[in-house]
Amino acid sequence: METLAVMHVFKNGGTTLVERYRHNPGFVYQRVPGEVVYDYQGANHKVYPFEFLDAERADIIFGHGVNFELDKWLPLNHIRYVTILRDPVQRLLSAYNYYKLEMFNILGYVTRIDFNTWFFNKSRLLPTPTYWQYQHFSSNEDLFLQFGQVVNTKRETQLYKQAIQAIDRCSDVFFLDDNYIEKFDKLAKSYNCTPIETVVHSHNTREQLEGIVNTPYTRYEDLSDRSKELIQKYAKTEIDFYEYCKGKFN
Amino acid sequence: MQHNLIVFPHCPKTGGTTLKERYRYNNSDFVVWDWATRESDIPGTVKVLFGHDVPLGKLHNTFTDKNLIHITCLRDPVDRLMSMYNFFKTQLKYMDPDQTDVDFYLWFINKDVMRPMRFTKQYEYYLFQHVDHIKWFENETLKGTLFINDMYQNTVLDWDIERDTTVVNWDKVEQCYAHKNEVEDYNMNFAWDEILSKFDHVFFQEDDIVAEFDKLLEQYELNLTPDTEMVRTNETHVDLERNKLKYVKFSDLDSSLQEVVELDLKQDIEFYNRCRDRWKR
Repeated sequence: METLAVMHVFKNGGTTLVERYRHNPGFVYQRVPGEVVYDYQGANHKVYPFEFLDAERADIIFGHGVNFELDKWLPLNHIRYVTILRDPVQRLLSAYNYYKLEMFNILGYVTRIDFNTWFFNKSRLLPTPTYWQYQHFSSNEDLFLQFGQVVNTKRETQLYKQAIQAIDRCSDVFFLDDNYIEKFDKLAKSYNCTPIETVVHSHNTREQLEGIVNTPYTRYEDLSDRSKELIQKYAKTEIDFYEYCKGKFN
Repeated sequence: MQHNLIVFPHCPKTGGTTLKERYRYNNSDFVVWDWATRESDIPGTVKVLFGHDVPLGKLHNTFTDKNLIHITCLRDPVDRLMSMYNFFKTQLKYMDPDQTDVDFYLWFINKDVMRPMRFTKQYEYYLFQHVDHIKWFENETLKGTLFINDMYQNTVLDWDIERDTTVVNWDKVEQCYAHKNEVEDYNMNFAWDEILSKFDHVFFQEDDIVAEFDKLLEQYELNLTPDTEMVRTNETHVDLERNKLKYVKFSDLDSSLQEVVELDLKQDIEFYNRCRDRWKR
């Protein structure tokens, strides 16, 4: 049995693929490690503890909760791990805007938190903490020390190394800005799954933020020089990780 | 004859900075205890130990030749929380002028973890200053801390599969509040029984704490020279105005926010009221 395991990193375009493929009977959604959903968002959707994952009905397992543990749970399946990455700066801005949207959607509150305050607190701020992409492949934890303007570089290096080891286990890494839908479609075809061709975009953060929350969508060019400096200074490891993956998988 | 030594743990945002600034520069025997202070640096002639980092529960072993007098200052918990929020905004500006503002609710649900300055309740402050507090948590003499921030983690959020969105489950929030109250009642009572009820004097921020402190120095025959012009510091209002920001008062919050603030501060309000009953003249 062949299984395609898609590790969905937050804000990397995975939801669009979920929307395109969730109607397939062998599509399993795994939002958190402990549970799986069949017929995700369909009329008969069912949530099961992870142990009830049906090895025979797992063409694609997709979600934030997918990890390399699948090997242990599906020992007879041949599992191909893939993921999607995104330009770190674009992703950061997307996460900031999404945070403001989530404050409204989850807690019903319109926030005006500025980028810098969010940035230094992003791994702690509820309702939606944000971590770097490489942390998805190592550990989601807060790396800032003291008042938020010093990074635990020792831990950062450890996590980076772990992430590199982990990403090396992936067969494919797609990039959001590089025809990732088309490339994913090609791969998914060999796992008996077909897309809904018309779905090419989801998560309209900008539309919702501006239309419903009445809050401007912040673009990179809207940031102050200081904010841009902060990103350059603190996102270095994240950018290194992205560049490594580009070099290896693109 | 034993000399008196005032031990004054300064709980943040309770007015203590004025006292510190009034005495620290004219008196080498007024020692400000901060994170870098080592006991070995403190002169034998010390008359006052003052600061956010003054430890509790061990100084009687260090200053065996002194008569220790424990004093502190408290503030109405709601006023203090609002003061912390407004002060937080000035600190954001201080650290980075680009940082514009942070709205109350976002700060409130994240205040236990949010930088640059985390929030602790007054009773928690005295617990955490005690040298044995880690041991107390480890051996379960104290119940584990439960911050309101924890309550908005996944534990109280439900995932709506059909809408692929996350929603707050208010039944779970209620259960969390029940648990939080149990933990906080226990820890607050402990802080009262083991720590604060043993203090000699407690001031209240709304009173003339400068006059009260001056009077106690005289009463305990601690001859220190004040900077008499220093009677007020930490003008958060002024800092905010300078940055074109408004000081947000409790009355500016809508009623539902006021309710969650009072709910969160339930034990701190009880702690404060006990102190008022005991020490307020």
